[in-house]
Amino acid sequence: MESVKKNRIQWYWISKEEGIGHKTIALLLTTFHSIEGVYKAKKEVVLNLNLKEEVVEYLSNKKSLEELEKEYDKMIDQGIYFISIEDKEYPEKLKKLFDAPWFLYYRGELPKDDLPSIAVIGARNCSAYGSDVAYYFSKELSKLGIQIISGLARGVDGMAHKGALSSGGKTYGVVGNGLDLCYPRENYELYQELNSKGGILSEYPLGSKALPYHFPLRNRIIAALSDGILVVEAREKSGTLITVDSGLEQGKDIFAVPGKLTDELSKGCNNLIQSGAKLILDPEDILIELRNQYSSLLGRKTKVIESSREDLSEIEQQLYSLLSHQAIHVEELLLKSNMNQGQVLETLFELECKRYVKKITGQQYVKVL
Amino acid sequence: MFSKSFSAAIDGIEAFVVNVEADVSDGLPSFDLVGFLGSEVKEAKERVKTAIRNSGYTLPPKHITINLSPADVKKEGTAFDLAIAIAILTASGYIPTDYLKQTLFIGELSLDGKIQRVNGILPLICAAQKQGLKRCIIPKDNAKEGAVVSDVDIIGVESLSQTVEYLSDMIVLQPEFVDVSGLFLQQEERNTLDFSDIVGQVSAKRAIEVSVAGQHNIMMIGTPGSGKTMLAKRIPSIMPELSFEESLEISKIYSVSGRLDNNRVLILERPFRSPHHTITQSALVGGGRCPRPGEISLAAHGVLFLDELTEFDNRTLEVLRQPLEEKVVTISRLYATYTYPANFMLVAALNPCKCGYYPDRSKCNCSLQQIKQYIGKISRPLLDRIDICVETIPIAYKELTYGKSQESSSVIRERIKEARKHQLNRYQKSGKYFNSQLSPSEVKKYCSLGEKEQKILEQAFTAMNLSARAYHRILKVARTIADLEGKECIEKHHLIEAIGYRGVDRKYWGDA
Repeated sequence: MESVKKNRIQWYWISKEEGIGHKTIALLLTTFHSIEGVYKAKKEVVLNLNLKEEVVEYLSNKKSLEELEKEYDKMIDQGIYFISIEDKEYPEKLKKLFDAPWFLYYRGELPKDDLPSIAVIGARNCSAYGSDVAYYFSKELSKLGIQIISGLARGVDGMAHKGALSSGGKTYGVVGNGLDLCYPRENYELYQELNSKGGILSEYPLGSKALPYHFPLRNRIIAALSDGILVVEAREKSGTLITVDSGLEQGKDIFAVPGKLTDELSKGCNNLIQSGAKLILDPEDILIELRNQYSSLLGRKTKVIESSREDLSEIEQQLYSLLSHQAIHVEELLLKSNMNQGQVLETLFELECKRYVKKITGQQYVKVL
Repeated sequence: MFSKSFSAAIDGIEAFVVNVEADVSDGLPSFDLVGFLGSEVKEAKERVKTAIRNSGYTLPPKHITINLSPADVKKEGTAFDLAIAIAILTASGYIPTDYLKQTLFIGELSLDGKIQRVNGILPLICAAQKQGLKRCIIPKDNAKEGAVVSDVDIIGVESLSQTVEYLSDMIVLQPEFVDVSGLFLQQEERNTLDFSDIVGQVSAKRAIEVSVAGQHNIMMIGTPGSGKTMLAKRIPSIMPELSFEESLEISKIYSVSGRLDNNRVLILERPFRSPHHTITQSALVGGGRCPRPGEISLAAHGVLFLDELTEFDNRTLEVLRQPLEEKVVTISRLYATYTYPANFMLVAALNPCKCGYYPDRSKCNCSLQQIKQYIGKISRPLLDRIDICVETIPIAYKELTYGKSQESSSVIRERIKEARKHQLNRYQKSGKYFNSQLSPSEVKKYCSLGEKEQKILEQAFTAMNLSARAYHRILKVARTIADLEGKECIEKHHLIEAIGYRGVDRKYWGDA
C-alpha cells in the first residue's frame, strides 16, 4: 500500500470512532507523534493516558489495514470521499481554524481555495421574505463565481443552495451527520443536486445521526470555509448566531440583512447590525468587501434590487404598489384597490406569470425580489 | 280460524308490506310467532298478550300461530305489535274479517293497550301507497307524519280498544290532514341565517357561490375566528328551495332515524349537519347491527360541514371517498344490503397550521415540516374530491363598523338557480346535474377552451407548478363560473378565477 493511502486509511480508522473527540486526537498525536504511531500504539501505553474505556477498547482492538482498506474502497464506490488534515487537497481556509477538523468526509467536491465564498445562513422557520432574500442573494452572488456555503437545513439554508443552483453556481453544504444519511429528509432532492453541482461536507463518520450538539460544531466549518457570512433572518436567540460568533473569532466579515423593528425573525439581524455587522441592502454591498481579495471580481457588478418595475401596465402598477414582502390576502387587495374581484385576480395572474409576485398559500401573495 | 292483516317493515329508507297471518285453532294452548324475526319482534308475544288482556278482551285458550310473510326477510322493530294484535282479535272473532281489507296497521303496544309511536312512518306509508292500500291505522303521535302521503287515509289511534271500536264502526275517527303545499309556501320564512349577516369576506362568499352553483365540494382554510363556521352555516340559505321529491327523500331518512314528529312532519329546509370531529366511522356513513343512516345521509341534498377537518380520525375521513363519488352509500350485512342516499355537498374547514396563523410568521413558529404534516393528515384522494379551496381572513374592526349593505341570500340564490338551469340543459341526456359530476371525457367535451385560454392554462401550469390532477378540477370549476355569468364558452377570467381556487396542492402549500 502506498504511503499516502496508508496514512489516509489510518486517519479513516480513527475517524470512525465518534467517541474519540478532537482533543483526544490532539493528545494521541502529541503522545505518538504521527497517526501511524497512534495506530500502532501498544495497549499498555494507551492505558496510561486516562482515556475513556470505550476509546481504549477501540484503540487496542483494531481492524487490520487490509480490512480497513476494503471498507474504505467500498465507501469511495458509494461516492463518499475522505481526506485528512495532512492531505494536500485539504482546504487552506479550514486549516486556519484553531480546532480545524482532523478529517473530512465529502460528496461531490471540496470548495476551491482560490475562489471567493460567502456563507448564507438564517432561520429554519423563515418567512416568505427571508426565503426570497436568501434565494435572490445567492443567485446573484453565484452568478459572479462566488461559492455559496450553507448548512443544507430547512428554511434559509435550503433556499440559499437553491438560489445558487438556479444560476448554475457552485454551492457547498456542511452537515452535522454521516453522509450516508439525509437530514432533513425533505432536502433529498437538494442533496442529489449538490452531489454534482457542488459538494456536501461532514466531519462525522458514516451512520452518525444528526445530533443536536453536532450543529454548533459544523457551524464553525461553515464560518471557516467562507470569506464572509450573510445572515438573512435570525431570531434573537438563534443557532445562526453561533456561526456568526465563530466567524468573528476567525476574523470573517459579517453581513446582515435588516428587518422591521417589530419583526421577531429579524431581531437577530438587527442586533448584529447594531453591534457592527455590515448592513446589506444589495449584493453589491458584499462585493465591495471581496474585491480587494479576489481580482476575479474586479469590474463585475450585480443587478441592483429594483423596488419598482417598469414594464407594468397602469393597473398592474397600482396593484403591485399595494403588495409587499409580507403575505397579503386577495380580500385585502380588493378593499384597498377598489377593483372588482375579477380584475384583481387577472392582474395578479399577469404579475405572477412575470414572476414579480408569488402566491404563498391559496390566496395570499408576496412580492418577489 | 284464520285471519290476515297488513303491516310494513323498513328496508334501508324504503319499506315493504308484510302480511301478518294469524291462526287460532283447537289444540294445546300456545302462542307461536314465526317468520324470520328479530328479537324485538319475538318479544311482541308478551306485549300483545298482555295488551289484549288489559284492553278487556280474553284470549281463548287455543293454539295460536302468527306468521309474518314474506318469511325469508329478516324483520326488526316493534311496529308489528298492532297488526299482530288485530290479526289475533279478528281470528278470535272480535272483529269481522272484512273490516281489515285494504288496511295497514302500524304501532307498538304497551302493556296497558296504549299505542306508542314508532320510527320510519313515512317510508312505511309510502310502501302502503305503492301497494294500493287505502287506509293506514297508525299511532296518534305519528299521524301527521304519515298524512303527508297522498291517496291514503291516515287514522291516528291511541289504544288497542279504540282501534277495535273504530274497526267495528262503534266510533268514527277522521283521517288526518296536512297541508303540504302550505308548508312549502312557508319555507321562505324559515331561514333565519342569511348571508347579509356577514361583513366583508367577498372572496370567500364568491367561492361559496361558485361551489353551490356547481355542487363542488369546498374547503375553507383560515385562522381561528375568521368566520369559517359562520359562512358554512349560511350555505343552505343560498341553495335552491327543496322540491317535493327531494323533501320526501330527506324526510324518509329523518323518519327512519326517528327525527320527525307531529310538529315537524316534513323536512323543508336543506339539512346542515355538522358532526363533531370525534365521530366514528359508522356514525358518519351509517351502520350498526340494524343499520341506520349516518350523518352523510342526514345531510343529503344539503351540507355536510366538517369543522377542523384535520382533527377527524383518518380512517373516518377515508370512508367518505366512495359516497362522495357515487352519491349513495351502501352498507352490507350478512342478511341484507342497505343503500342510503348521500348526495351532500361537503364543506370542510381547517386551520392553516397547528397554531393557526401561518403564513403570518410574526405569530406562527411552526416549521415547514409541521405545516406540511398538518395539511398532510388529509389524504390525497380526499383532497382530489374537493374542487374549491378558499382562505378566510379575520375582518378588521374598521370593516365591521363600515356597515356597507351586504348581499342577501335570496339574491345569491337566484343567480345560483340560473347557473344550475344552464347545467341542467347541457347535461340533459347524460343524466348528470352538475359540473362537479363530469368525468374526464365529459370535461373534454363540455369544457373546451379557446386558443387564448389554452395558452393561459399552459402558462399557469409552468409558472405555478400545477399538478396534472389540478387540470380537470380547474376546468370543471371554470365551467361553473362561466355558467354563473351565463356564458357559452369558458373565458380568460373564468379560468383565472378557477386557478385561484386550488389552494392545497401539496407541492405548493408551505413551500414559501
